[in-house]
Amino acid sequence: MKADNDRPLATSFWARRRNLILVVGIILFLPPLAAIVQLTGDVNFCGRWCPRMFFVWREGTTMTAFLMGFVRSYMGVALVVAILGTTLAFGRYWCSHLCPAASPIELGSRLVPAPLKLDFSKTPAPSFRYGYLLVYLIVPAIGIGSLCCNYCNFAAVPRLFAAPFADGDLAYLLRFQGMANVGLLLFLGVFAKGGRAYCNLLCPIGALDALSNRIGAKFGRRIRIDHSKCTNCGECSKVCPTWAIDTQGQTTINQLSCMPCRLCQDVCQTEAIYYGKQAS
Amino acid sequence: MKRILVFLFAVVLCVLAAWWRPGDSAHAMGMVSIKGGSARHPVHLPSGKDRYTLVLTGTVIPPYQGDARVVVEGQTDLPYSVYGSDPIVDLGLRHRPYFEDQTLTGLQPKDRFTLWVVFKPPEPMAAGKYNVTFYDTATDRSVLQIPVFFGGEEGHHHES
Repeated sequence: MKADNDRPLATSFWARRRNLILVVGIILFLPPLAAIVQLTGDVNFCGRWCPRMFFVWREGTTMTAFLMGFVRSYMGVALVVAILGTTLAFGRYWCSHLCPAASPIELGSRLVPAPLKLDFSKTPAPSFRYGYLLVYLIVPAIGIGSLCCNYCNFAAVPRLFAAPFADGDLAYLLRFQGMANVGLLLFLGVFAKGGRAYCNLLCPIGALDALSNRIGAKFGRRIRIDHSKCTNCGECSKVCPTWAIDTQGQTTINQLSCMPCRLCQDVCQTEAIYYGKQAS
Repeated sequence: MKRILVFLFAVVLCVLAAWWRPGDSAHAMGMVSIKGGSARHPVHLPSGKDRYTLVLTGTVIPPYQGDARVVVEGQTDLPYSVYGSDPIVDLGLRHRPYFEDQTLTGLQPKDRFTLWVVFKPPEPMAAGKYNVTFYDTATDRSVLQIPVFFGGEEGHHHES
């Protein structure tokens, strides 16, 4: 990834080509082609590619079985390690540009007229997200139930794409759990302002990635504000899909929610928002 | 204060969501082998639904290889359909078994597969025991049998 601290947004590949990258991610990761997934002998994100189940300890699981989960989902393990590692240095590019579970939902939300959109921005996202993550990790271990698999956009989105062609994928959707997943994708995705409420509230990978983003904020490249240029106009806050920008008082960006989608940078009239390292 | 309340609300909501099961689907795991195979656990589904979906994932234990016909057997006739999980556009990048004519074709040692078994009882299911059985097409011997119980305790919690 090329450093672009001092260049305006228009010259940044990741900013200019974001929509194209979202579409390419959909083509490469999701049915009907799912070429990258097929390379490993799978057809979707369950199995070898599952990035969510291997780190969940279930009641009665032995250490051997737990570790075998890492082997079984080796591509998912590699994916999570790569996501968290690159986020430390460069920010949440997986979430903003590449995630095939989020891309079609965000693109779909752009087709929904603004008056029909639900605004979740009054919800303190990190509070909800880490309440969710806590339950995600703890509840299976004490045997109450599980959020993992039952509520999973990595399972639901590929099957939404495959269902018109395959009865098996349609069978996934024609169950209560399948319909609940589609409902969540519509409610917190397609009909949400910015299309990213699901990512911001209910994604365990997003929650871990946000922690990595926050931890690496001191030394890594992030979306930042040059306060000497900022006029506190609030335009950036209006377009932020993860409601990470607080304009009460001095404008600040919460690195526990920010992803480098660059939409804020795009609307900033004074070029006060930039992507780069923390000014020394 | 708002942050703490939202955190607690999320915890309560998510615990309820994790705990609650509609009971119209379950996940079964099995291992196909020449010795008859083994199911990780029997499937229990509650009675009273008019449609059930069983997600069946399996692994082939060496040295078994061949084709396996998948049938549902039980005390009474139970309408069902079995669907495979093949790529929509098969790029042929890797070997994989495919599902055709109720048969998993081209199984090789260590292969993994996913099937979807949809039961559609003509009237709400009361109780009964069925088996999803895999028969090797060459020998007609069972290489895996997954017991499915309707009625009684609710289904296994591990969904997919």
